[in-house]
Amino acid sequence: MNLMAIDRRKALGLVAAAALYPGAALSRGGKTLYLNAMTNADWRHGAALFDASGGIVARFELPSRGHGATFNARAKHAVLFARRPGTYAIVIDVAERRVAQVIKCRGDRHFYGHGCFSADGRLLFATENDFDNERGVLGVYDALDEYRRVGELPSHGIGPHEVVFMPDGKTLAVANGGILTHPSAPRIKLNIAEMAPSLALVKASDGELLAMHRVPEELHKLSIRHLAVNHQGVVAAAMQWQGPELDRPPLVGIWRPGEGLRLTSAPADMQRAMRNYCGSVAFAADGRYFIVSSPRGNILTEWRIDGKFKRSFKLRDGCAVAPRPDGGFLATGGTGDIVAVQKQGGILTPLARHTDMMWDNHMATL
Amino acid sequence: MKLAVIALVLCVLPALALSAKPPVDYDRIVRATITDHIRPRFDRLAETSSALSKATREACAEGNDLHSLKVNKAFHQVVKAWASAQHLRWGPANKQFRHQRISFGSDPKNYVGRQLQRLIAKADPAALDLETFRKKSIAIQGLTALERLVYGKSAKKGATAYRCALGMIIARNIAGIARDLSLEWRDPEGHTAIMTSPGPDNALYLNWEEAAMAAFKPLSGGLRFMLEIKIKDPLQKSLERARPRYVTFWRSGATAVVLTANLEALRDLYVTGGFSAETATQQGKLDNRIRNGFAQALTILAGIDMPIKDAVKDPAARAQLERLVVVLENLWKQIAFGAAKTLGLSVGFNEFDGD
Repeated sequence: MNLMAIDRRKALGLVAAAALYPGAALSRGGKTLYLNAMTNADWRHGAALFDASGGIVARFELPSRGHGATFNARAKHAVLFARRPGTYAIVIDVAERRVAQVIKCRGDRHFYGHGCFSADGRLLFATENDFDNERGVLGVYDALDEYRRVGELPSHGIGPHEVVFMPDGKTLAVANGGILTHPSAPRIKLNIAEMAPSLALVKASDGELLAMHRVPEELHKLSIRHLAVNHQGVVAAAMQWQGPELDRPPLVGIWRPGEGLRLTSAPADMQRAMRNYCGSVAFAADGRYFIVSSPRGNILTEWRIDGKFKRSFKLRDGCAVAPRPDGGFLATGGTGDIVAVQKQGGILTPLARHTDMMWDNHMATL
Repeated sequence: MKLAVIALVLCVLPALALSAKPPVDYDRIVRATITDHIRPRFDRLAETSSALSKATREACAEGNDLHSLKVNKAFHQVVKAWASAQHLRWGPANKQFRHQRISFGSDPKNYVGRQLQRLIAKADPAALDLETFRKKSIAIQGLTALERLVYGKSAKKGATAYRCALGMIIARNIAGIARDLSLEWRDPEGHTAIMTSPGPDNALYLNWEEAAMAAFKPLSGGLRFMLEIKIKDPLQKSLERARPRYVTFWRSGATAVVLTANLEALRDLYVTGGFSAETATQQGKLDNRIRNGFAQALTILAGIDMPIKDAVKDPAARAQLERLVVVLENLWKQIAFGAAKTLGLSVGFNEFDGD
């Protein structure tokens, strides 16, 4: 409904034409790579591509802190977004290990730092802020036309952060944070009473709102920021509490098709250790469990898809998480560490420590 | 935008070296920080903001003009007191959005101005009731809103009773929050109790190290915030792009006071909190560099002989500010990496600024 008039038909057509094979990054042959933004000790920003053993394959410089990335398996492009309120995204040609293009954000929008590709790799959807109108949007970019912005959809909330494609290839799941608390400029509705974080399911072809799940009223300061989805369409949401630190709200949400958003907590000591703050979430390759990072508490927690807390791992300033193809996860920390979370045994295996790289919040699987 | 690709070849350290914990008296750091650093600052904020509330009351009674000498003086004192406590944003300051309500910071979208205008246009008498006012947007509840009423262009256009009453209620609101902050930090059962009784049953801190971490974080966080938001944002990359209106408290001309108070407060936390002494025991040179960094930054600031909002557009003064950036970047590194490591209190990169 908010696609710009001229572009609407085209964008509709593009989504309709998408051959749908979701979540395929891990199923491809060849070596799995990971892309993670980072900052060095001189406060210079960049991103690095590394393999499953933590060995750096390539580095890229960035003009400011990077944030989330997403992979286009067809074009072998990775797109990495600037951290909010960012105005650029870089397109990395993964095979050639080079920056193929820089996408500039529209002047009256800024990026929130996340995006996702349609299953056919044709369209890129990016969470953006239409700041003059104080509303969240999803910018739509055509990967086959030099990432031209071909339209936009409403995110149906304020402060959209992470967006993921559902396995049906037609639906986008958007985490509308509802509130932004960067001290410099909480750039949105400032009236406390109006904060309304939500998980919105949005039709990718026209932006129609298919379902909207809000957190309960008493938890309206529970900002939904990050999402992961498995092959069955189960969505795991990782939250950040914007209220007093003594409160102990649930920090993890699970949504299943046809159900509401269910919030879940870890046992009390673990819940405390998470420090009311989750940074990132990823499903395991088999989709049966997921991992949530809590960098402020230096802890990673693993959860089953029924919402049961499984186990936890200590990782100093650990934030970015991603699945390993053979099960388990990879995680990175602001210390420069890259570790493997083993599928069995419940241990962390240090893989590498890059002391000149403070790994930033997110890691994309390529 | 220059995006170069750097090819691989990087040194990879195979194992995670485990270093022994430095012998740091975390217990003492936590107690000293609360008693000698935090409490006096919120006391001062409560005192000055109570005086400001009184000054606005008198100004309104005398002629509905907030732009009076008394208000001006009291306002500057509160802003200074606030800048001296602004980095202490956990615990009591993190309740009920108190931190943001006292002063709604850098506001490129002009929420403060727009929301104030809307309110004044409506002249809604209900907003002048403190309980109702506290539920209004946080953007109009604090110092940056009051600053517009006292010093903004429209303030000089003629005083109206409503505008004055609004200023009065803002000042009262600030005074109320400041009083609560001061009382809560003094309450032996309050956040102080949580910070000074770490353990498995503690609501926040498992051990003294974690509590000391909470006291240390504002040092690196406060410096980074000041650098990014208050200096680099208005400075931008070039003179042509400078944004004088991003300068903190430019309307009241309190910018330099704020920056100086911010720096002095952070230095005080470092010294009075006991971080300096502990660092000096282990790394005398590092401690010296940090103290010199603060001194150097304060000297540069003192040497800028024009309002900061003009300085960002003045070639010579800009150079001074750019030098300040370099000094503060270095200082930050020495604190966030050097001192943190020395004290066994590494601040996580991923927690500087949540996202």
